[in-house]
Amino acid sequence: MTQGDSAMRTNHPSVDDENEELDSALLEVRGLLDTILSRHRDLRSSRGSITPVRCEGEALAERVARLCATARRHVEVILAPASLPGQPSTDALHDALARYEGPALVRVLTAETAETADRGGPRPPGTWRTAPLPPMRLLLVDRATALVRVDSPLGRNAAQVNDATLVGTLLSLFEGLWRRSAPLVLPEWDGRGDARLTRAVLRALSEGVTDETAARELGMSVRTYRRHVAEIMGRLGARSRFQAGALAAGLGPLGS
Amino acid sequence: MERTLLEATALIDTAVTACRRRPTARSAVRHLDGSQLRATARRLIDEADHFVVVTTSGRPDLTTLLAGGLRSLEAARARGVPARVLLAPRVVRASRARLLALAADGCEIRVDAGEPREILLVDGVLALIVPARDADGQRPALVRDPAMVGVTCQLLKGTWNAARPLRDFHGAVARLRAEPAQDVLRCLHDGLTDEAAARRMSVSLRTYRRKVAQIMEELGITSRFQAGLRAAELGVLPAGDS
Repeated sequence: MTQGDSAMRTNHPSVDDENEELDSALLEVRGLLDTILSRHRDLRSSRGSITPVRCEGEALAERVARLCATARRHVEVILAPASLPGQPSTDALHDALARYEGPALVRVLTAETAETADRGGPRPPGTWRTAPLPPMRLLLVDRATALVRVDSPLGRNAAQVNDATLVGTLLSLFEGLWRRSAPLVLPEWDGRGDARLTRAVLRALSEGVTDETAARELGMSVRTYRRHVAEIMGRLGARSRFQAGALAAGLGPLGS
Repeated sequence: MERTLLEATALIDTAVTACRRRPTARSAVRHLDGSQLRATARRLIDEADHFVVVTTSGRPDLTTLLAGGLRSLEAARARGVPARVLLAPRVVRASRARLLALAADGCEIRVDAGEPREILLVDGVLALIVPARDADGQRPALVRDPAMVGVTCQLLKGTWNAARPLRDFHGAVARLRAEPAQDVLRCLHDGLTDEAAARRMSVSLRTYRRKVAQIMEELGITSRFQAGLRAAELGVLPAGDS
């Protein structure tokens, strides 16, 4: 259109100016319409990215079960229920994991320590690690879809997330927490009265006092103290005191 | 021409009516252009009333965004809005003076060398999430969905709890992550005797012990158990531990 104008320009300048004015005005409108169309499409595509899910009733549990069953390559889970440890976890996520039989690599990060986990029977498949986590639940399937749930004073909220950016960020944050986590210690850890002594020895170790000082404070011989340390290292699966410390880092507050 | 223009006007009017008839929903997620990012981030922080959390790994093309963000944060602090900033070590090095000033102003700042992430959380109800890398099909997203925002808050809180306060952070972590220190950490981790470790590293026993002492000093501890604990907390353990 603009090419043809140049021929007219030489002959009738006043008429051409008006045409050009119209032309540029129309082009402006056209540009605006393009922007509007693109924003509208953005909004429409965004709508599928997150689907809120009701927490009451079976809707959430069904989604969890269904999504988990479809996993083929990767499953990442965070289990940090808001309930107190010691209560039986009738958790849809826990159940879905227990039933999972697919080929995916399963990683579970739990807020529970060995003292409270495994109370519901044998641990579901996958690699389980523990870290002190604020309450939340997360299920990431094949790094493409996520189910999230959070309980807050304002209520319980859950949603299914399909957006690549959001799922990518959830995975990133998961990886960071996973790296700081510790292996879930085996159930044989807990014995009558042992737990308290174990904690005391761990605390002494973390304070960096000499074996002699620790033994004195715990009211035992140095030999006995060292035997307890060796026992703890065995249970943690540590080959060195350094490694024991590294593993103990994931066991949660040593004072509790 | 006139008829075409009149038809076009009628079509636009129809579209306006249709648009107005839609329920005023604020969508759970809105995707943004890169061009809208800076203004959006600034506006979000400027409108924050209760709490701002920012985390960045210093993605290179976001550096101007960061500078603008710092300005808005400073303004937010002046308004008395609590703020938390979680940074990758690289970002600390680049903006150290400014960050120290922000910290002195009551902004909590921590350092964590985790996976890349670029997130802005406002008042616990809004999240601006930027793809950490240039990945296909990933665009910045403004999120209002309570579950997604909530989980992001919790995940960040967990990361925050394990991060080190700015004042603790110094070159120590960088030095501990470098290969020479990692070699020593690996020997400690594997439980080798000092003699075996010195052999593995092809240094004299005395040199090995000196290196261990240096590391213990960097970590600020006195026993090897503590060293393991601290190394885990700082995230400098050699990769590949079981």
